[in-house]
Amino acid sequence: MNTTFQNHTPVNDIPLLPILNWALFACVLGIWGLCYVYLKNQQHALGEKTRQTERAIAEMVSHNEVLSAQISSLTSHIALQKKLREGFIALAPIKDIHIARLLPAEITGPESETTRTASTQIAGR
Amino acid sequence: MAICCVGLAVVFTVYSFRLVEVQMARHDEYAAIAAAKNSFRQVLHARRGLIRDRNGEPLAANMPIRTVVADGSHIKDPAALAKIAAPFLEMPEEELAAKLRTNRRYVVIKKGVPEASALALSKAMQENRQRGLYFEHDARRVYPNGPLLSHVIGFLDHEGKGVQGIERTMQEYLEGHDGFRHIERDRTGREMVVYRGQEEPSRNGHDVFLTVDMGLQALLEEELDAAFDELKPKSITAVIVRPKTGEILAMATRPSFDINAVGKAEPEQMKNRAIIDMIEPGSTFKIVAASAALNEGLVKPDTPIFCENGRFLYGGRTLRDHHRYGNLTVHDILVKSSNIGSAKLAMLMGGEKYYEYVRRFGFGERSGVELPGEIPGLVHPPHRWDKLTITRMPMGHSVAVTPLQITMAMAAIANDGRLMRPRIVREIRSETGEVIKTYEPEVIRQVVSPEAARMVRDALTEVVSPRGTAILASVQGFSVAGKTGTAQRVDPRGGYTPGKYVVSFVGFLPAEEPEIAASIIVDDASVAPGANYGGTVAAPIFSRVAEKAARHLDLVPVFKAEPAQMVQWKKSGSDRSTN
Repeated sequence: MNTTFQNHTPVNDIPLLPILNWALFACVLGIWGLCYVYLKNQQHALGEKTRQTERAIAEMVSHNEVLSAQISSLTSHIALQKKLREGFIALAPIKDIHIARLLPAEITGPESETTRTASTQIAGR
Repeated sequence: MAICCVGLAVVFTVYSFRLVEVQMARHDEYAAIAAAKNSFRQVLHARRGLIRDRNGEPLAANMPIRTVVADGSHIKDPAALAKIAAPFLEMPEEELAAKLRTNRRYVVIKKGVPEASALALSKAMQENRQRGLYFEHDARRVYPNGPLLSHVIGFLDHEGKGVQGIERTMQEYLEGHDGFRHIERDRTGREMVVYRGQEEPSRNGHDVFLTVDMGLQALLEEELDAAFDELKPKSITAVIVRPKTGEILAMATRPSFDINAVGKAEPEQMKNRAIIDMIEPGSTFKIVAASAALNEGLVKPDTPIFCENGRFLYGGRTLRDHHRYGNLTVHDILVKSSNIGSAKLAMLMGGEKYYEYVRRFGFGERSGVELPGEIPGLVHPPHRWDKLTITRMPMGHSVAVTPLQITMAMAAIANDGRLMRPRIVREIRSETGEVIKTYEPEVIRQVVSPEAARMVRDALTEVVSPRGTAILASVQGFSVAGKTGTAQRVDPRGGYTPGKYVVSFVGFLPAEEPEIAASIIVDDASVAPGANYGGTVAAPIFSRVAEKAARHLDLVPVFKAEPAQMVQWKKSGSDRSTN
């Protein structure tokens, strides 16, 4: 029996270069993908922050308007007159002596308490 | 093996076709379905502009409120959500739960929810991990001064459009412009800001500044309230203007209403009688005949006119004066308020010329004030007059005017014969304070010469003296000029109502350098018979208002009245004309 043995075992060559190329491509693709996802997440996070800031501003504006409306109501003539009637505030008339005028009034004739006007109640209500 | 491969190839081919169909062939259809589910057109609400008085005091403001709406597709547990929301919405829990059990994506749950309640509810929902309720922006118009100046400010309808007063005439400035933004929401209902689409920002409405001084308005209305309670008339109307500029400083009418509760007001209460009521002015109209005759040079202030001893037969009817005057100067015709003297002045001019002056004073035409519904009044042209009109019109009968018209006519006398256009809007400003539009004083025409106006002014000053008919209109420290008026009340069915009078006083002060002109018109006061005259009813109201107005405006008193004035007035009581 004539048997021949081959000493050389057949081995496939590993194409390292293409593999490295593909690996590099995959890595780049993966990193690009991760960057994309990261940026997308950042975008969403910023969007969320924008939304919350806008909401806070809107709430602040609304709150400001509510307070402005309340201040208007509380300082209106009607409210002040009501407080005056209820005695919470009082009016202190300013006497003429305490008023400094740039153009002094020309007074003719003597002052008299008997001078009749409607406000001195003679013909008044 | 081959069969398996073929089968797999077929399956993948089918899926590939389906993928191409979904992604490409029917892309628009599916994109529209997705958009309908997740995309919204968000309205960016504009704020309505404010109305302010001349000093910037807010007269109409906005109170932010929210409309609570539900999206049924986002609600997992209606009962749990109702339990959380009911206290904030002040609704029964069962009723709310029933409303929330819906598949509809837009259900209005409650309108007019206060801002604070909406914010608190939003936080409570977040803490309890509930969703499905959303809050839309809205605003309620509030009027801080309630019934004060209500006829001028006006109010809005349910759509937020002005239907009365300044709210209506200044609608185009007050109304803002809503914006919009296309947004997408995730499955939890939150907006995904990165997918925002087209956007147009909103523009808030402009602020309207009036010429009205609320301090003056408040004291005027206080006096009108007191007079209304005391005299119990059908109505009282008052207007205060600045003669030099035509600015309306105050305008009030009784009966009145609260603009914050328009639903409770009667139509009669909502009438701004200063511009929509026609009245026969009575003797206040005598300024037209006197100033016209003086302006034409037909007479001088000291020209005597025979007043027929109080009875003047003309056109088959007798015209009467309250006293049997013989000769009166033109000056005294105004001081004594002689009907016959005024009629003779008009007759001296002739109907056409007299009519021309009536129109030149602004009667029979709208003044153009920035308020809705103004009427022109009623002045018939001479070809429609009867024989008596030439004697009746000079004393303020057979003619119908608005309170604003007679005030502006008196203001023209105070302003050296220049008739100004009445203005109630001062300027329009943007919310940042930028002036958008300014309403400048406008001279309509020179009605009479300054000399003629001054002659009439001198006579009107004496009207408010012991010699005249309106001593009760005097104001301490100031010389007042003015004219009383008493006219029978016109019956809507024709003729006059016996025993009913419209009495008035129209005047200005200081007479030398007028700062304010004002009219007080009282319709059908409940006073003793024989006491219902302009000099006794309207003049005292004018005096009180003018005195307070002078103090408010810090007008410098020009003199202190003689102490004997009171005594003289008492002595001359019998000399007072009742007109």
